[in-house]
Amino acid sequence: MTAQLPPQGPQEPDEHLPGETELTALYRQLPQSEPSAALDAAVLHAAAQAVVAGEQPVIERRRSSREPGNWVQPKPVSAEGPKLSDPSTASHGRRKAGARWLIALSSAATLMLAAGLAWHMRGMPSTTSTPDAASYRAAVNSPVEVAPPAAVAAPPPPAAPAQLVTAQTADHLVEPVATLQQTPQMASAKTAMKRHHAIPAPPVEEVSETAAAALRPVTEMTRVAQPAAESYSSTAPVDTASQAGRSEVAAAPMLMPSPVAPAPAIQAIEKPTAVNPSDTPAQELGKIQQLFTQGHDDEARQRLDAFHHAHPQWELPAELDAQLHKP
Amino acid sequence: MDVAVDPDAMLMLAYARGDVAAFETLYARHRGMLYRFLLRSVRDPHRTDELFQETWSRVISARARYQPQAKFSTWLLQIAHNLMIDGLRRQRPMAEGDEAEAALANVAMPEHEQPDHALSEFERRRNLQRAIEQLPDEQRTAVLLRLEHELSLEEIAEVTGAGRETVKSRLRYAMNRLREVLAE
Repeated sequence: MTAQLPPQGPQEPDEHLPGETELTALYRQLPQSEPSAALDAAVLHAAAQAVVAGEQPVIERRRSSREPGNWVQPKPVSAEGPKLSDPSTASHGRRKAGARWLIALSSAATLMLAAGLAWHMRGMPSTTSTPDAASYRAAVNSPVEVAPPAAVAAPPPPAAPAQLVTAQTADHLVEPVATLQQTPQMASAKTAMKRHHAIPAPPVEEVSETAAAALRPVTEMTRVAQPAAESYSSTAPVDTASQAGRSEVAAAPMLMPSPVAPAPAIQAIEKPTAVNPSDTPAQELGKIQQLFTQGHDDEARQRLDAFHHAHPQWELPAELDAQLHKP
Repeated sequence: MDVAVDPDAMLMLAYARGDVAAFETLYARHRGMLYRFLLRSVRDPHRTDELFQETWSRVISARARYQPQAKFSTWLLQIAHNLMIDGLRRQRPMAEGDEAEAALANVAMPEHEQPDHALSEFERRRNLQRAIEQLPDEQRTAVLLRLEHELSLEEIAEVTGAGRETVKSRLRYAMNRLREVLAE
């Protein structure tokens, strides 16, 4: 407070400026205005209240960089009785209110920006793995546990029939069978996708009933995959154009791993006697019998030998037993 | 002046110890001069009331840390001046022209100065008042501190935060201007 005032030393007699005496005399004759009684009462009351309040902490106000001179003044006592009106404090309050308003505005702007970014990012194509695409892939891969990603991405070697089936089922999920199971949104997206990629796909009518029965795991797989696609489409906006565009984008990872021509898939559908590791022994025997009936005796005999080797305790039908012991 | 024997400083120290009567005495001694200084500086009665209250509020709040290192009146005027400058920085419009004149004319006059006094004296005072109002802010503050409170150059420099020679120069310009107006 007064610590910054320079100490007062003995002063030299102050020199009078020319004409000062006359001006001072005339100035003394000016109206001697004084504060009103209400103002006096307010000040005196505040002074008395301050003494009564006693030990209230007094915070010294530091001089800010914008304030000149040795401004060291305490903040006004704010919690004392009928407070004096404080224009300086009022202006600070306005400034604080303005700062609060700015903070609120900037917070709202930040929220809007974050929401906009989130909305934009949700609609952006994901080359790696968005949650929807990841869940979709998980749904695709889960029924076919033996299928590695490479098996999906590349055509399987012909010597591995199980992997062939796996790849075929994956292809079916992508193209014809999945088309059967799609929601309308997915279908429209698929249509756009097909228009874009021009991948030949067999018509749905070509899928025979027997083939569908033989590919039961595939349909099961699509049943699993369908909720994933539906969950994806449920998050889509209602706008059809953006829906189609986004579905096209989302479907891209589905189409990418299908460089394999759809022919093997059709072949698998049309060949119900193919080996399926998930078949029960009875189903396998039924297929072997069908092979014999169709005249594929060599393949049937091989598979019969393999079956007998795998299930030596299994009681074979008489005709198959005869084929087994036939030289 | 030896501040150790400044009676105002003694009163302020007494108030800091809880003597409300000391403050009342102190207030009675300085209320008029402080009010006039503010009124003639800002020329706005409402703003003057605000600054007057704020100045005394600062004095009350600072009572516990008050140390008589300067005259009490100098310290009081320094607080008032700083508040006034702070207000000017916020560019609060001041009363101008006729409004200011009306504000200053509405204050009560001593009885012996009421309308039956000589017209020439009235005109001179009015001219002086107008001339003071028309001075630049810094010159007006200096001349008011000098004429109203009879502060020394050092004390005015202390209150306004300017150098002694600067204050002297401001006073010289201001008084020359006032004398010119009165001589017209």
